[in-house]
Amino acid sequence: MRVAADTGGTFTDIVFVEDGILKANKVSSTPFDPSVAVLEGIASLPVTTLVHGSTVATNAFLERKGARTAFITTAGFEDILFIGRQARSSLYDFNVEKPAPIVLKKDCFGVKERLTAKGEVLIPLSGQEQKRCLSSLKKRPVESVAICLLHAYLYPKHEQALKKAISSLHLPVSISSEILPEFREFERASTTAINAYLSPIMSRYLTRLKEKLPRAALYIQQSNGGWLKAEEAGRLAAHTVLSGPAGGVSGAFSWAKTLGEDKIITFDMGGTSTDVCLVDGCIPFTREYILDGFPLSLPVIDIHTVGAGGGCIAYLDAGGVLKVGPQSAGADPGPACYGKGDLPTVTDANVVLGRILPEHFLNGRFRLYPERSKKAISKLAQRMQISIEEAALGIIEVANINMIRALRRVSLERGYDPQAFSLFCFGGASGLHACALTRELGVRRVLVPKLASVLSAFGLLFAPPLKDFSRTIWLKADKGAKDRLKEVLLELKRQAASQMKQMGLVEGELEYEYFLDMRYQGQGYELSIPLQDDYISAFCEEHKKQFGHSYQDFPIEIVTLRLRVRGQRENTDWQIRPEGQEVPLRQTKVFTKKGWLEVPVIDWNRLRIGEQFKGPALVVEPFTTVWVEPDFFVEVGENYTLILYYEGYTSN
Amino acid sequence: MKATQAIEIEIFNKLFAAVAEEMGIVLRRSAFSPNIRERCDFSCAVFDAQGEMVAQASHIPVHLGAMPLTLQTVLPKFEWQPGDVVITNDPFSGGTHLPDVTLIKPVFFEKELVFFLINRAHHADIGGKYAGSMAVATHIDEEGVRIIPRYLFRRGKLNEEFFNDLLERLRSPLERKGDFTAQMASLWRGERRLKEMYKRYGVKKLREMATALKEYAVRAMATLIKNIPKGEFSFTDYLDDDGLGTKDIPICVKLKVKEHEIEIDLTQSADQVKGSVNAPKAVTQAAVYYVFLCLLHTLGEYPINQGCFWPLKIITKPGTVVDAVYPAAVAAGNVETSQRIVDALLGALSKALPEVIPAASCGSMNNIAIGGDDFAYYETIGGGMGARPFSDGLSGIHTHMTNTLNTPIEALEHDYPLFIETYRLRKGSGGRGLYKGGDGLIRQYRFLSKATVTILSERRRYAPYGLKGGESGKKGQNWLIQKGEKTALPGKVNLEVGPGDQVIIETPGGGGWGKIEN
Repeated sequence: MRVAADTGGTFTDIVFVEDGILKANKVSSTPFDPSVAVLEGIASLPVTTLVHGSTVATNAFLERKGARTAFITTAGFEDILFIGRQARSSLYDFNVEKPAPIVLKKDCFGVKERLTAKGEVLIPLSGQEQKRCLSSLKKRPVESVAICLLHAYLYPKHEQALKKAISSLHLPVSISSEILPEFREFERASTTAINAYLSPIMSRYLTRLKEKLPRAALYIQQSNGGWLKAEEAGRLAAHTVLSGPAGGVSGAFSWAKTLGEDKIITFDMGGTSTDVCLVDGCIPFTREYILDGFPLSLPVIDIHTVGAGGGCIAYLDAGGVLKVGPQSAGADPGPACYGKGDLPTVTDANVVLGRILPEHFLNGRFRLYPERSKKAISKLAQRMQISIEEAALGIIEVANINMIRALRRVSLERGYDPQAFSLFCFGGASGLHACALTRELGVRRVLVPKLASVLSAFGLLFAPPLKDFSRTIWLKADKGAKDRLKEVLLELKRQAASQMKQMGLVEGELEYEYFLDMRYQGQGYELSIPLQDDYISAFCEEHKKQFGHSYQDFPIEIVTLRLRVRGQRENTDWQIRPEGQEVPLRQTKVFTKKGWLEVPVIDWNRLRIGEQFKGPALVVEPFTTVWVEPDFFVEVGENYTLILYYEGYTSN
Repeated sequence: MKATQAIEIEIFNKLFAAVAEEMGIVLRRSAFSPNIRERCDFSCAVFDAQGEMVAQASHIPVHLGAMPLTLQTVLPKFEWQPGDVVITNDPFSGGTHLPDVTLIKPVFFEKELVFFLINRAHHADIGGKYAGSMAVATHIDEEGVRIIPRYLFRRGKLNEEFFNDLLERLRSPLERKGDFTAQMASLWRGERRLKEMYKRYGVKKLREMATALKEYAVRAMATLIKNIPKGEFSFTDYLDDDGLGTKDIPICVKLKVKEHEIEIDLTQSADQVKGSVNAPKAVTQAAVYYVFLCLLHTLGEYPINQGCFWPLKIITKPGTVVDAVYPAAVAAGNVETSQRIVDALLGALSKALPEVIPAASCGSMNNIAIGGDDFAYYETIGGGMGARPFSDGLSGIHTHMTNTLNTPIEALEHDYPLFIETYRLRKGSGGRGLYKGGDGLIRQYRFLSKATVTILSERRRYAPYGLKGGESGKKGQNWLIQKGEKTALPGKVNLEVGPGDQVIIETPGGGGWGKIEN
């Protein structure tokens, strides 16, 4: 049986298909060793393949608990990781700090060698220099090595020679020409160093997990939405830092497709942050991800994150204005209603407004204290001289504006009209805010899947094996370009096929996609265009779409070539059978701008496909609640997906 | 304040700021100058019909603080119509220095003028005697093309004759055209977003909220002023020289902290000089604003708009280095003198708020402009940050009035006939103290072809000061290596170099804070 396990801060989610029925299981996470929860969750299942979304790498990075790493670079550039782009992260700020380093300064050293911007050897790397490098490393108790030489993306032989020269130390070595053969030395060095810093941690974790699952194949979800074999993930940990969120987007996309929808904006609201991603027929990627201050320039699903979540704290600043976040009460102490903290959060506001029903919160496994929410918010309300409910509504509105900003950033600001998209909500709290966001953003409709609370794990279950390859080539996009393009494409394809073969996949099962990163010569930002006959027109069109203009007479260059190779995705048929404890139909009170409303509580498990009803309503399920505002109309779609339409569009 | 405003202020603050931020994204991603695309040397802001700043995207302090004066100067001189765009780079009409070109677009709802959108970007070249337009010059006309405020678009129609003529006078006109187009695209995008806001909220609401935001900032500033001890505090710091023989140029700040306002008197500063370290008034204003915005930040996250500036009375005397008049050369006023004004003002404030104010930072943007037959390149190099009363200063970073990124060496070497020999921290350059000043940087260039090089740098003679017994940071140094011989270069210099020649720039460290305890 193929099983997916996604580790989250509070719960570890398990998803699998049994006798054609898609099933989910939630166990409490075990932060001291996440594998404990995973093993508990799958204990009763005959697992043959486990696809795992892991936060081990990400957490090790955020806590700076990676491996002690040596950084080797071209002599004269040893400080590159400390200088970065020489800019500060906050402008008007005496207290600004740099991100905490991941490599000790004394573990950074240079080797004499130099390449030119054309990839020619200016100063050869001598055997003596290689030996010096080896002996310097021997003196340091490092556990991992990162190598990034200037211009190595054009000529990898120096990096390869160094790697070979230090192989006798039996340390894991990450070299930049393998990890990210692209220009921009700081971004490449940072990505390589992150990989070296995290790989030993990941490798140890996976070895431990594998020992306990000797008979199962173990796959790890990558940030690009595909999986890697565990052995490889232990060498390429940098590829796994957005493991869970990537699973969420792929899950949303597969789910939406079962409803015939392939244009969605995903919206995943968690405790401390909210992730959004616009999918227009295919999942988008970015190479500009910043991991806690350090660029990670590998292709990751283009997820935009804002510090707005259920745990975000509301407060009044010195000028008396209401602010929400980015500080979060997290899971511990958590919102006031969790019974430990006493600061008002977005979750507390939802409790006060009657939108979270304490008896249904997390399947009743977690006791809520609604009176504590009220008390926490009443302090704010007093100072604002408004009622507690009005203050709670204010908290929701301010939190929403941060989320709307994120949604606009991925849609309108990139030239996409939200009206052509469905807002796809998942994660515990999204369903409470979906209607308000829909009104503001103007999306076509809202989709909330029945498995909203375990969607990332669902995404993992159906993830394909997938790998990305790239090479910076600096090529003028003229007639002479074709031959060189073909040559490099073939090289990349050979490389891809051989690596996929190592994963046990053969040529007939592979799908290749090619992309060209292009720009007008002289620009500094490239647009990624799928390879096609007239890629020049396609580039101009995309430029116009994103920036409002394009040029006829400007020379164009192809900076980087990309190849993505994908194996078959898991193709099991599944359906959903409603299950869980029954919720008696009853009325409750929800506060809105128009005051308290009488609202029916509807059990999601009792809804039938094709059924329709109008808001206001609270639709509840063991781990998800959806607040359907008045003026919204609901239809129950395939797989019990709630489809919400805003009726206000037609009436004004 | 009405109760509902406590909620709406935050919402509208974000809405207006989003417009400015999106304008910045469009500009950066479609621009051509490395200055704009890699180094982010540009700024965008939204102003109301009175010419007061409502929101800005955080980019470059020296731009943002200067833009209000630009609009104040330009606004009454034009008869604004829908579809107009006014262009200027005139330092004597609220500009900063010639390479910073500003575009201003009025935004009309129905027929009513409600907002202005502005962006300002540092172009890689704006003509003049030397490539990069950042030379050691004596007259504004030598520094490049000066565009007195005028219509670039009138009622939606581009003034092609003017535009083509302008491009012809600049080096790499195609690239410049691309940069101007990116600036225009950014304005169109901003306008579209404001119009959407208008449709959603109506003009009355937007006006009301723009005013509420400014008043909110005023209240925040009042809290700040309340926390500063009342009295007079003075400080004088010095510019090394003007590159043409005038040395030890004083910048004098006399600070009067009153109940509800702060007077910043700079009238005792030196008369304007021959070389280009003269700062137009807009630059001085920007430097003062910067310091107070940093202080405001110590109280929390506040919206930055014109309201922050209302309680600040800046007094200067026309014809001085802090209020230059025609025909002063001003290229370095923006990048160097602005930093010294900050240092002098912080020095004065350190007497009022000794536990808040950091020691002097690098104090120079360490500008280098390199031009050849078919290229013009310009960059600035960071230095050490002054130590703070609670922590060490940061190393190898841009401080105060700038925050431009470095150009990746791999991009630089690919695009230009330049080679970087080394780029690293300058160890031991930060001043010692209880808290240590940050270290400066070393950047060593080798030229692969004949080129003209201009260096504009400061803190080569006067070191960044320490505070409370902390030592000063190390002064910067510039070197030339020609035919194997290494010679010291002055802080400001124009040079002719050939293939194989090298220039080394060592930037100053930050001052230390507090006595070292034994």
